[in-house]
Amino acid sequence: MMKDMLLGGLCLFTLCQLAHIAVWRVRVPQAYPLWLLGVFVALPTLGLGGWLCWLALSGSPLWGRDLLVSVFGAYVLHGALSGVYAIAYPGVIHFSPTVEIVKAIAAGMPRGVTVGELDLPLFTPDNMFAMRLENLLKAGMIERRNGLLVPTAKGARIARAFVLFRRLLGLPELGGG
Amino acid sequence: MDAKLNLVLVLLASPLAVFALNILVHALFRAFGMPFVAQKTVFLCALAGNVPVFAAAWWFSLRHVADPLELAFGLAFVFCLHNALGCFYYQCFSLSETSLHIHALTEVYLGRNRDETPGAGVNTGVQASKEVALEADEAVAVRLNRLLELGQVCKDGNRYLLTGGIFLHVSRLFDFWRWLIGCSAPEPGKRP
Repeated sequence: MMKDMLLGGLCLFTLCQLAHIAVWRVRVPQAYPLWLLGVFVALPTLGLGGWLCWLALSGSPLWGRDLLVSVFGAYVLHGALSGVYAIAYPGVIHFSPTVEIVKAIAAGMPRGVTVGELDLPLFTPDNMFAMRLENLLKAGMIERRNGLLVPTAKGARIARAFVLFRRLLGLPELGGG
Repeated sequence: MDAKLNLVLVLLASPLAVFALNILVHALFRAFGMPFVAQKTVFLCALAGNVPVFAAAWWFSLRHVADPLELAFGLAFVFCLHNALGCFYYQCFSLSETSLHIHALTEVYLGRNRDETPGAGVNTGVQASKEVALEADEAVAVRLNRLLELGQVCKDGNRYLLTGGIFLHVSRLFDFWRWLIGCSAPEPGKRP
């Protein structure tokens, strides 16, 4: 039934969010991409897989093609919502430069602010760039070679995908940053 | 194939439809020499994608559903999944446009390619971090310009005034979520 796909997907995502909040409340993991994958991909995949196996092996009347399609639909919806959350997550825990600028302008309203008056304590070279480069180095996207920064095979694949995406959209290869 | 499976397959293809629509729209803008703000066009294409996706969902699946309640759940499923995928598509574009991580990675990648000469091998690349990174001032200027283009701020002389509230709402949501998962607010020079 359509209801199963919709409610199943929303429930699955909600359960994973609760697990995510519970884990993070205990300890905020440094290697968050792996932990997010664990909570939003591994956990529901293993849970649903185990449940389906149990239904199949126990000869449950629920087992069948209809159930498999419903689970597939629910899983796709959960996957889409999780993808949206995973991309937004770094903006939540680090900071979004655009949001910080808007907050600084809002603080200066109704007079407005000049560029010089913008109070942006988070815009340090460390926060803006060094941390990002360090993250890329740690994630194995780039490496130092003979004093130069070069992309690894993994980093080059990801960069190439973004460059191709922007080229197809008719945009400059490099975004504004 | 049954109606449910058809529906999921149609929706899985929907980001490709939005991407194709987006390519077409940008090509038309360029053909007519009209300037456009990519963040707006990408967002609007994802939103406009609702029309062909609902039409395809109806044609391939929902018109075969007789029960009105099932139909309502089916429509809600289309709405949720297509717009979640549309949001994901917009975020992917946004990563390519605004993310400092992706900017640095792409800069390193393009730097290597630009410098590449026969026999240069892999020992080419862009120099140290300061050459990879935009300066903080430039990053602020790029973002202020983007906010102007998006109509979120306006300029009165040399003063910037807030005209839109979208980013403030996003900021409040982020603050709430950071509190919910027990993260502390980011501090200068401190890794979260």
